[in-house]
Amino acid sequence: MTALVVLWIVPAAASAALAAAALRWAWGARQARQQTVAVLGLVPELAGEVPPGTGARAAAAAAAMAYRLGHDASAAATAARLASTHPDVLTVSGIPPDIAAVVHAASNAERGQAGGVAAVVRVAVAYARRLGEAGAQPSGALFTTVVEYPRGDERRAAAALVQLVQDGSSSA
Amino acid sequence: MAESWVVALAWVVAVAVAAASACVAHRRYAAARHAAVAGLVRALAVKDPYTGEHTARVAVYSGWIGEELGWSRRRLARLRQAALLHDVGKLAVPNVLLNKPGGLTEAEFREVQRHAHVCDDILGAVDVLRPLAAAAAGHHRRFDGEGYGAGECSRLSAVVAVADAYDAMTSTRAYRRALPQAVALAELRRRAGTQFDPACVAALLAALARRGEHHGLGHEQTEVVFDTAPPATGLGSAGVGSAGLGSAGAAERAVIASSAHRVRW
Repeated sequence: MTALVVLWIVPAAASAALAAAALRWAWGARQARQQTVAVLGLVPELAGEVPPGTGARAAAAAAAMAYRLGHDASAAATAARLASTHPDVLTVSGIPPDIAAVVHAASNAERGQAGGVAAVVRVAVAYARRLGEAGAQPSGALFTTVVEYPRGDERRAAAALVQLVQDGSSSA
Repeated sequence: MAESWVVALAWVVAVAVAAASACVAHRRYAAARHAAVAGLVRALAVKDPYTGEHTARVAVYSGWIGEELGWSRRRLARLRQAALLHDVGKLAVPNVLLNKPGGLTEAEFREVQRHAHVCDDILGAVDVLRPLAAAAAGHHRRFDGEGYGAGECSRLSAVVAVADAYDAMTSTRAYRRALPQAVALAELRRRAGTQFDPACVAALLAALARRGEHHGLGHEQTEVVFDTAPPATGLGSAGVGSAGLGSAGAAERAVIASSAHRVRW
């Protein structure tokens, strides 16, 4: 009996406990990163730099547009949420470098030069900001956004946005 | 017999692998928590550099108080994190109010007071920071139960309150020059038992004496340049600092100590 306990039960229990702890911490770390992104995305809204709700709207639009265009929807949503966040804050917050690069490209690329996911983020954020402005009409915000991006990947992102809005209207 | 050894060895390996996985997962969890704290602190510093430096000093002073109180390393780490985050609610307060020279109107003061509740909301939104919310957001809760802010006055928030008030009095703000250290300490002693926990005040006094630290007018760490010299008296959001040096001087450039930080309004 002692041999059974020592050789089997104690090590099995120890392994199971350690594995459960590892899973709990891994899950906790993942949640912490996601929630940190959400809170950092709120910072410009709290400071009054962008209309309230811009981050959430931009993330939702960017994810849907990226999915339609075959890009990484999760990366697009995260980058859209963080689009107005200061680069120093991104660096110390443990945001992956590829996401930070998308945020930087979406904010700083020349008009018409943002490519891929950065183009999606740029268009999504512009649309979300316009939607949040006082007295904004969805059709007006969409038109103004599409007209603003006539070239390259940004135009493709704007076209995807138009299709999404039309699909949403027809299914309503 | 040989089989038993093989089984034992296999289990040792299994436990070692599980332990290693747990260590790695725990490090990642701690890193995620550290990143969350660092991100919010940096966001605050980017928005208002004075507040960023202020929270760093409050974290140092809070650590000194906690050490004097004989707290464990783990509790001290929590205390320092809570101190770093205690003003994160000021992300929602316009800089024009944070750096306003002179007194705030009642409406403006209520706007500034909101930072305690916003702090609680922000930290409550991140599970890994939620345990710090009460300590960080409760730093304007008085020892006697009055005051404002979210949550109760816990031991951690009592320490942060003393450190916060001490730094507010010994650093130059747009609305008031730094007070001499003796004046600041006298103010803390006067309010011990009502606004501040007496044990925390005593611990700060002991820590400063033991370290031979000098702060306040003439000992400022950073050079603050103002277009118009701030007055010598004025109250901060903690309601301390009324014991000033006299009437304000004429408009002048007041260069106080080391690195340049221009406040404009």
